[in-house]
Amino acid sequence: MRYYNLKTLTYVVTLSLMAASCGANEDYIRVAPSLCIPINYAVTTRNSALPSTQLDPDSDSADVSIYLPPKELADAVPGYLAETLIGEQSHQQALYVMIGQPAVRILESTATLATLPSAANLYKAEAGTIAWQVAENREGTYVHWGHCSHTFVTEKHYDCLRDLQTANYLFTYTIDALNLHLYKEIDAYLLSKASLWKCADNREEKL
Amino acid sequence: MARSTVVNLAAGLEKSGFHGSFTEMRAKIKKVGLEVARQHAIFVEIDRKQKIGSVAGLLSLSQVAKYHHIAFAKFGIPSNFYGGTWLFIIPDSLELEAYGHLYCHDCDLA
Repeated sequence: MRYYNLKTLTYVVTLSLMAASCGANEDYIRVAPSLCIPINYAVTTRNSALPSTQLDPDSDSADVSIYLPPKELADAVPGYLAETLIGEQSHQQALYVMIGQPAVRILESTATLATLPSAANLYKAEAGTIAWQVAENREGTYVHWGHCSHTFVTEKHYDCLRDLQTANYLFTYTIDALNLHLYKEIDAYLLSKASLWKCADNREEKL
Repeated sequence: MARSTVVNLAAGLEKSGFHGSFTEMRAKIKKVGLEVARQHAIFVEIDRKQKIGSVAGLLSLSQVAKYHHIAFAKFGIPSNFYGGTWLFIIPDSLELEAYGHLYCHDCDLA
């Protein structure tokens, strides 16, 4: 009798371990509240090997980012440059998307709005030293769009971090000035991908 | 730049398809380093302005990883080349013994 109990226990433990192992090998990473990002697009940003005593414990954003390869963007968004050549420097133009919580981004100043040459409705909202805030003109109202900064490769070249707000997320992605005129198409593509990645148990929730 | 970093970057650049001479590789690694430094400055400035996290202007581990990923992506270096050795089963000390001198002649040895 004792032998059979032990055998049953062995089966139960083995099956439990197999079930746990299957659960751990899911093909997506869940990002709160409702995004399930396929692992081939997910980039983990937690690095426990680094010392953290002198760092900020919080960053208001998820420990998972999204990586969309340059070719995918070029295929999806007509005109998108998968690679840029500025001076002698070539850069690949993947979309690296950081996922944060929705946040109020107030324009620091609207006193000296200067147009950005790359996109008609974007304006440099402040002088800034390294990263300067950019505003978008939405039918006469200026709202926060993101930040840009000079690359120092040439005198005028710059790239940007676009802040795209949704009901539940703040997506911040990288974009070169040469692709800046396509930001609305890139916004739409990113949102379409994110909609596909809503977790099965949260399909009805807003993005 | 630490030896392990230089080795990692060289391996990452080769992974991206860059196969230059020693001098070209060295120059490319410096460009990656400059881009990482620029991204660091950008992240600190935005963190300070937007008061992100517990301390404005102080980055988190996650933010540090992210700006490295952004800089690496420009050069086609896979993001997993940040934050550790690319030869996962070989101890760093042995790896550096084998490769370190190939890439780093003027690095801080401390």
